[in-house]
Amino acid sequence: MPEAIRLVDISVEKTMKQSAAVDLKKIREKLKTRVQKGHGSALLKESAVAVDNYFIRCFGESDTGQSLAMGGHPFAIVALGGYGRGEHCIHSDVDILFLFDKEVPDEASGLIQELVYPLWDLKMEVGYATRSIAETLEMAAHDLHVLTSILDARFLCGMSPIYSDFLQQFRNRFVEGNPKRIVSQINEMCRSRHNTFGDASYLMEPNIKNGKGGLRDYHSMYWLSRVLVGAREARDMEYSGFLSSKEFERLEESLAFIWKVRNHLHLMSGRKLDQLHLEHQIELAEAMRFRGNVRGQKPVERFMGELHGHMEFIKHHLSLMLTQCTRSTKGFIGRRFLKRARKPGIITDGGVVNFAAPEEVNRRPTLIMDIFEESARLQYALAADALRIIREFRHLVTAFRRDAVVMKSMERILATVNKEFNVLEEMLASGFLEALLPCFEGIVNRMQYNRYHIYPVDRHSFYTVQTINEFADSKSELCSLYGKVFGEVQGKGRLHWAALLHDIGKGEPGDDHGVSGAILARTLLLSWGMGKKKVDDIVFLIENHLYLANVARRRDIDDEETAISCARTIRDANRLKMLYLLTIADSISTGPKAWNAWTENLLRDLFFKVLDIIEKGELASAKSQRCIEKKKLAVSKRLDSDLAKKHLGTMPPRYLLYASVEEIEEHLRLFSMMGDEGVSLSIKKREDSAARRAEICGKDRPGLFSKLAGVFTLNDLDILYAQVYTWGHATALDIFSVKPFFDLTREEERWDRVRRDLKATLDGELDIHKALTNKVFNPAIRKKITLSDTPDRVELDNVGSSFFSIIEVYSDDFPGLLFAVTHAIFGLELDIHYAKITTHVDQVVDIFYVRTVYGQKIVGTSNIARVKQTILEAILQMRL
Amino acid sequence: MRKIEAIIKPFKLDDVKEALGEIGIQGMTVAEVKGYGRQKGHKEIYRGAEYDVDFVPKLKLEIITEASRVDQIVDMIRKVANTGKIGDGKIFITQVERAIRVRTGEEGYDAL
Repeated sequence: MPEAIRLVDISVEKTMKQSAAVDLKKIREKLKTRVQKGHGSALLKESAVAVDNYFIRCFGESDTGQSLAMGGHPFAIVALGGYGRGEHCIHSDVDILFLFDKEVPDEASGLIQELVYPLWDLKMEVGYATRSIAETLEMAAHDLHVLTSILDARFLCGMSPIYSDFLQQFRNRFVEGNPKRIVSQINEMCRSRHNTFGDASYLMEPNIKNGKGGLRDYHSMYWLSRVLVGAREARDMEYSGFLSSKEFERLEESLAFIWKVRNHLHLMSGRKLDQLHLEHQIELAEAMRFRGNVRGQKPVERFMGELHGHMEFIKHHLSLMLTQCTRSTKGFIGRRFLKRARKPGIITDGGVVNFAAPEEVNRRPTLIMDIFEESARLQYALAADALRIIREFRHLVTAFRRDAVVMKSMERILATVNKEFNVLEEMLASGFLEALLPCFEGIVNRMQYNRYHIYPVDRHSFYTVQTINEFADSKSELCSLYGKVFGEVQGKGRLHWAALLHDIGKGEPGDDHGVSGAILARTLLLSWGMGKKKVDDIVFLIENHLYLANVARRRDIDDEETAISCARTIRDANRLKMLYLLTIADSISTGPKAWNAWTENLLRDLFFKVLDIIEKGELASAKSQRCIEKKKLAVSKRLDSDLAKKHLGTMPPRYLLYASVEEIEEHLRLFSMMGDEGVSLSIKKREDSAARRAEICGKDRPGLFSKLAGVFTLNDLDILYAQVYTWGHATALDIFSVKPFFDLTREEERWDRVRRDLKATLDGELDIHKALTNKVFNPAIRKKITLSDTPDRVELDNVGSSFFSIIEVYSDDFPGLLFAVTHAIFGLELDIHYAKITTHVDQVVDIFYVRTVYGQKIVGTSNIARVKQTILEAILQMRL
Repeated sequence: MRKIEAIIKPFKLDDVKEALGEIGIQGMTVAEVKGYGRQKGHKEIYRGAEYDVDFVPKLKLEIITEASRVDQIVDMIRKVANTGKIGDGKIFITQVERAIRVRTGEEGYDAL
């Protein structure tokens, strides 16, 4: 160990003596402070020049170098990679090739020690290779990275003829011979790199070098132009026609921005780093001089937005260049037959769509719309020059912006965008989308700096449209339920528009982007001449696009009330279906934090329940809602007490809908009289008949209904009709219509007995079941019990309600029937939430809305059979 | 030191968080969980196809606290998360042996 330490000491001492390294160190320190001061891309060049100077000086002073050259081993020092291009960020690699004419001598290692070790001591990342010309060419043939690094090669010092000889051989072998092969290799390399690093033009933590739109994409553009047109510097991309002069300016601007970011990032992390982690972003925004909030956006959001914009530009142009370079001029792309455009004035040429005659665009601006539509339909990208024309002429959009034909065309485009090819990206990149939909401008490259959103708003909107289309794709895993629902949606264009525009409010001031987006969308679509009904639907969807997600998370979806209030807001099934799909697509396109099986479960549950209520219509229709509101108003006017108002709020819609104003009033009175006993009873005579109306308000408890039925039967009261409601706060309301069998002269006394029996039953002092079994009915009634014309029937319906199982009992009427049935239901541990008992002549139809004590419907064939059987047996037993 | 695990209905999270904040509980871990107890999942039928909801979505809160505060916290959760209906959830309390703050290495109550 001490030996090793001593060695290091010597090497440090040695390097410090070398003035070249000392100078380089000083210059690098200076460069670092200038990065901090905000100097831009010029530093890259200076940084490279500083390293160049180091090598040139060292080489001049190197003894080994001289002796090698003299001893018949001439060599050249060549800069490769980014350093070769002269684009050197603070902590970028320095790639060096010591290129020998014939073979590499053993003494070469001495050269490395002299030239490279001092750089390592400066903590610089240096990669070097010592190779002969033949070796290097051989490696380039097998390794694309070696090949591309040579495309960046630059002569530093040494014997320049060796370098030029090498370059000539390289060109002969790789470029002149078969440039197509290199082009397709570069194409393949980009594709796999993009797959690995993702799309930097929208990701929250982009890789600014290797991601899609990163610096490597620019390098690839440069390599392609080196190979294809022998470019010597980046500007040659313009001179050779790959970029217009405006585009080249923009490219320089984008690169300068990204390089500056990279320099800051290197400085901040103290090492070579290309992944823009969240933890660095706020500091970077500050370093890049983004300060203060603008239009509600934080500095970091604006910074990331601008960065994404630049990377989008690079990504877009690489993709154009690749299509341009790889497309075939024949009628085939690869092995597929080339599809033809249908619209006049649009041609497909080698797998891209283009204008047949660009000068036509000025006269027929709608060609711009046509070309996008064809691009979307055929899934072909636009030719670079076509995009260029659109960008230059996008002001022409004003001529047809409000044309209904264009609107239809846009709708068709929205319906075709998919994962493989999203033409909206091209519409955005060419500036056309903002020209067509000015309200979109506010959300372009708008970042949302939190852990929830992973895409900027514009991209997110595109993915939402794309996801909607995926629902219809039978190959997609999303197709099962969503595909079915999507298939049922009437007027799918509405859904597409809403998906595209749902977040446009995010560019506006205000707390609720749904509301502000709805206002923007209404103005836009109406001015386009879209029908009012359609606009209403779209605006509704935009305004409420978070509604279902919020209800699912913040309300008790096991409560029928939640579903009913949702149904009232949404009103019609088609809207609900669209809103549901929009909610799903929106969540999926937001990112994994917003979408998982858990959320999916909640939303699906809610959707089914609300749909059920809407399709049944009864409880949530506009008519029934008006009816309920009217009743509430009438009751609160009459009673005008705060308590009454409070209770009105807890009453379920089913009750409010069926009970009359007088009844509600009466029930509130009964409720106030309940007292400690927890039950109150009122009896009303009817003038026109012998029937009596008995109303009971009581604390809900298991079996209450059956006990009431039992007590009435025990006291010779024939039950003609009954209805059970449950109020909030566990209050039951039971309304009976009964006909006394007994002599009416001493009626009051009989009712007192009913009250006594009821109290005794509820207190557990009277076993009503036993009492009834032992009761001796008078012969006339007795006869009725045993005679039955039709068999009894029990049905159980689980489809009628999302919340309850509905039991229907059909039977001939006889005293004790209702008790038998309800007592059986009680014995089955089922809660009666709502019941309606009606008698037509002697035929009884009883309907019970029940749930298990655990709040579940009755499921499973054996359970259902057991319920039916138990009830039937109870009826039978009562007859005996 | 105790760990309180509470399974609650999702829509009760904000209320519970707020109520616990008021009695000085500063931290908790929340997870989206699915499961079933007495409240079983159910089946939905849509246009002939069945969609199983085998597990009911719930939230699980985890709070580590001093033993002396457990009752107060449990009471509060019970009070706030109670809807009186099935599926309101459950609360479990277990002993915690050690707690360590990753950054500083502080142990015990200091790490909470």
